[in-house]
Amino acid sequence: MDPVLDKEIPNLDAEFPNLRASNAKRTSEPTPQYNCIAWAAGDTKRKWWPGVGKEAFWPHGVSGKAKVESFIAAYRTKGYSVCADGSFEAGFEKIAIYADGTEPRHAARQVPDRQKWTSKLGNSPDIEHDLADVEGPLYGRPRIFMRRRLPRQTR
Amino acid sequence: MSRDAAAAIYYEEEWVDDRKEEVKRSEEWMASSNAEREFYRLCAWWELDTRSEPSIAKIIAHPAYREIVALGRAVLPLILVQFQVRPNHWHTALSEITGADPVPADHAGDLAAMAKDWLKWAAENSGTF
Repeated sequence: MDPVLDKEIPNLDAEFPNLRASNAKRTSEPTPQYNCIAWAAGDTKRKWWPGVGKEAFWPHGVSGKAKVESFIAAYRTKGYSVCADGSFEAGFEKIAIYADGTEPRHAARQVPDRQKWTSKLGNSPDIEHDLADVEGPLYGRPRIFMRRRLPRQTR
Repeated sequence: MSRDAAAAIYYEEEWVDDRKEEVKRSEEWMASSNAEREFYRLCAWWELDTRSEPSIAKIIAHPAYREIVALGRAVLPLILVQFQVRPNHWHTALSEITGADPVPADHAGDLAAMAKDWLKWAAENSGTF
């Protein structure tokens, strides 16, 4: 038995009305060390957010305004470029930027092997889920998709 | 006035001063105890309300967080302990209360590293709070 995966996702019904134990899976212990924006970028050492001084990392040279455009620019520094949608494409890894209007609220990253998405929910655990599972009043909806080519597997 | 009467007044005044000092210490203790209770009440409110909040700007603008900052130096030791055992966005509160910033730029966003930076600062500046 996996001590992490066998634990239930914390009760977050109010924040995530679409989230169900049947369609989402917990994949980590809760930690405050990184946040959803960092997790989508593959960084588990620190939090990412613009315009909050040393409370969070933000890539050098990228606007510190909490706008979708700034988040796109931040993920460009990790090799992502904007793409049409969140469909699964062989050889690519995608991220989805959720926003409520123009205000970015969340980011999720594809897990291509399992045709799922992975998210860090605040200080709560990481989960695997479908895109719509974390839509709602807190995170809004996926507004922008970005992709980058996965490194080729060496045999 | 006899010498004994003068001594009695002197000792009575000293006794009154001692009692005043006790009352003052007791009031300070009560104030400090109230600040501690208030700190943990505000912490619980803040942590619950922001547990899934992605915007760090909103997390440090939360009314409970602002009230903690307003408690000032009375809660500095409590924030430092909290930062160590439950790392969270305490850097802003500590900076606003003390006016210090011991966190190097390359620790930005790394809560564990920032907590260590502040604990080191506290050890070096323990006489100032």
